[in-house]
Amino acid sequence: MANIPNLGYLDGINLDTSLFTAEEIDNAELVVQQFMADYAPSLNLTKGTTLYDLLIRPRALHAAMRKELDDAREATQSLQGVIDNPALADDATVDAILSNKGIKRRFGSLASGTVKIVVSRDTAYVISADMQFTANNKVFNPTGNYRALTSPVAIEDLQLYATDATNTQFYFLVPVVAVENGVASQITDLTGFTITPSVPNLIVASAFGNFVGGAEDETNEEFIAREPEAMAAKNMVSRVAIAGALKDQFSFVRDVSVQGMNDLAMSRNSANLLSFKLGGYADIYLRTTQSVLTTVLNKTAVRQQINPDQSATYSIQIDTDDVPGFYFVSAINQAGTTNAVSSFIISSEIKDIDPQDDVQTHLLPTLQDGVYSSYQKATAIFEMEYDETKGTPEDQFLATLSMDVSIAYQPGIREVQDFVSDPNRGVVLADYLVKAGIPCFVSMTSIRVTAIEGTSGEEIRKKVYEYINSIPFGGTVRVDEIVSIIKAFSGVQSVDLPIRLTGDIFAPDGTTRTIRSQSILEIPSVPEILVTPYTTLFFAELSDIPIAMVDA
Amino acid sequence: MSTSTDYTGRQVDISIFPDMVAPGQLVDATFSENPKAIAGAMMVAQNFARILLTQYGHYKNDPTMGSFFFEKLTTRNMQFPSDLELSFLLEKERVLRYMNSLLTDEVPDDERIRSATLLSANVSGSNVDLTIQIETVAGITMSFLLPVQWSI
Repeated sequence: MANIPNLGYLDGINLDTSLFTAEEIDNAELVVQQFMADYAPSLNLTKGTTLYDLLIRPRALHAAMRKELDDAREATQSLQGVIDNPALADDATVDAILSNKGIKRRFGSLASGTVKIVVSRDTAYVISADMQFTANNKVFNPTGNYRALTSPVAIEDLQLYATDATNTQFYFLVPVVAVENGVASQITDLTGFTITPSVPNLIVASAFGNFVGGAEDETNEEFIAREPEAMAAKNMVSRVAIAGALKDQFSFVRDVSVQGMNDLAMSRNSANLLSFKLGGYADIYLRTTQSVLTTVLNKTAVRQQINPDQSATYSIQIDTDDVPGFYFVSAINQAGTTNAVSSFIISSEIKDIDPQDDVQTHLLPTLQDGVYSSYQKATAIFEMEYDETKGTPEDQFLATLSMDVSIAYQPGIREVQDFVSDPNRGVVLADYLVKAGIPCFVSMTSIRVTAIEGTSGEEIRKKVYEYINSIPFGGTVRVDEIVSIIKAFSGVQSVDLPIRLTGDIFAPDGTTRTIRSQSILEIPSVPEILVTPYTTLFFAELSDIPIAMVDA
Repeated sequence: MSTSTDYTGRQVDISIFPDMVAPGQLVDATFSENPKAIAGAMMVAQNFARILLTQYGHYKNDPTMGSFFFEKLTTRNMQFPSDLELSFLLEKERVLRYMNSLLTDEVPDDERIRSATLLSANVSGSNVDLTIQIETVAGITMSFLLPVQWSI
C-alpha cells in the first residue's frame, strides 16, 4: 500500500506564478483550456479535475511566460518601444538600435584622488599598484608602484614626512584611481580607507582632499535623448549641427551652447567703428565634465621682490598650452608637497590672452572675450612669509623656486578648438571660438532630512550633486527639485525648509557675482561681461551639499 | 463492468488512482504506471481525495483550492482519535464548498458530490489509513482507502 505524499505545490520546482497577476493567469488558462477542449473534446478539462491541474495550469503559465518574452522582444525592436518600456531594454539592445544611426554610448570616468597614510615608524614603505584601497564600498588602486622614503631617490618615490617634531608619527601621500566608473567614487576629504594588504605600522589612512573626476556611464535615457543631435547633419553651421558634431566627435562633451551673430553674449563681432554686429563669428561654450577638475603642474616661480615686511612676492606664468581654458589657480605649494590647500596666499591672478595659434588667429578685441578659451594665459602672484629659522630673506627667498600649482579647469577645450578650427572641416567663413562654460559654483545651507534609520545621507548627497552638475545651459537650480530628489528616497519622511542657495559666478571680467535664492537660482543676464544663462554653467562639489540626517 | 461502458460519451478525467474500478467497492488508492480514464463517481472521489490532500492556498490563481487537513496531521495536533475526526469534519466541508463552487448546469448528478464521510481511521506507526465514503447527488456511494503518512 503506497503512502500518498502531500499533493501541494512544491517551491522551486513549479513555474514562478508571482510573475503574473491573477487576471493574467485566468486569461491564459482560458486560452489553453479552449485550445485543449477543441483538440480533445472528450476530456473533462473543467476546474477541479485532475486533467485541469496536470494540463491546463502548467501550460497556461508557460503560455503566459512565452507571451511576455514575445512582447518584450517586440517592444525592443524600435526606439519607441525602448522608451515606452525602459525596464525591458537592456543596454545591449539600445546600443544595437542606436548603432543603426551611427551613435555610440558614452562611458563614464574614474574618480581619482590622494590617500594620506599615517604610520608609526620612520622606515621604507612599498606601495604596489595592485593594492586595494577601499572607502564607502568603493575600491581604488594606486596609480603605480611606489616607495615611501624619508629621502626619495627615484622620481616615483614618495616623500615620507614627520607629522610633527616629536617624530612619533609619519605620513606619505599616495595617488589612487577608482576601479569602476561613477560619481560614487568621489570620496570626500578625511574619509577613512582600508588597505589590502595592509601597510606595516599603519595608524590610519584617509582621503587627502576631495576626490574628483568620477562620472557614471551614460544611461539608456540619456543616450536616447542625444539621438536628435546625433542625427543632425554635421555641417557645423546650425546650433544643433555644431552640438551634434562635437558630441559625436568627443565623448566628453556633455553640453554645448552657441552664441551666434546676434546673441546677447556675442560681443567680439561688433568691434568695429560703427559697432555693427558682423556675421562669421560664433562662441561655443562647453560642459565637458560633471564637476570642475583639478590638475597639478610643476612650474617655476620667479621672485618679484622682497617686501618691507621681509615677505617675498613671487609670480608664476600659466601659458596657453598649460591648461587650456582653465578657470583659476586653486593652490600653490612647494614642489612635492601635494597639499589640497594652498600653502601660500595667492594675492592675484592676472589673466591675458594670446589669440594666435598654429592654425588660426581669432578676433579677441577684449580680454574677457578670450577668458576660459584656449588662448588664455595668466600670471599668478603669491606671497611667501619670512621664516627666521631659515636664515636671512636673501637666503630663504631664492630667485626661482620649483612650485606645484593646482589649477581648476574643464578638460578638452583645446581639443575641441583644434577640431572646429580644422580648415578641412570648419566653416570657411567663420571664426569659431571654443570656451569652457562660465562657472557658477553653487553652495547651500545645511539640508535637514528626517528619515528612518539606515537611510543613506551619502546617497542623497550624491543625487543632489548629480542634479546640480547636470543642469544644461539655460537651466536653473530649483529648491523644489532638490526636495523632490530627496523625497524620492523611500526612507525619507520630511525635508526642512528653507534651503538657501548661493551661486558664485566667476565672470570673465575677473569679478565674482553672487546670486542667492530660496527657490530658484537663476543666472542673470549681464551680457556686457558675457554672463547669461546660455554662457554660464552650475557646478557643485559634494562638500558644498551639507546633509544633516535626523532619525524619524 | 468497465468504466468506459458505463460512461460512454462522457467527458473523462485521468485516473491517478487506477484501482478505483467500481462504485461501492472498497479500493486502495495508489498511483499506477498505466493510468486510465475515469468519469462519474470515481472521478468525484478522486477529485475529493486530491483536493483534500492539496495544501490550501498553494495555487496563486486558485487560493481557495485545497485544505489544511494534511498539514494538521501531526502528533501535536492529533492526540486523540476525535481530533482526527474533527479535522476531517472541518476540512471536508471546505473541500465540498470548493467542489460545488465549480459546478455548472451541464455537470450530471453522478458527478456532483453531496457528502463525504470518514468511515474509519487506523493509525499504524507513521501511517494513517483513512476509509472515506463519498456520496453523489445521484445517490451513488463510493468508498476508498486513503493511506497517508503523518508527521511524527
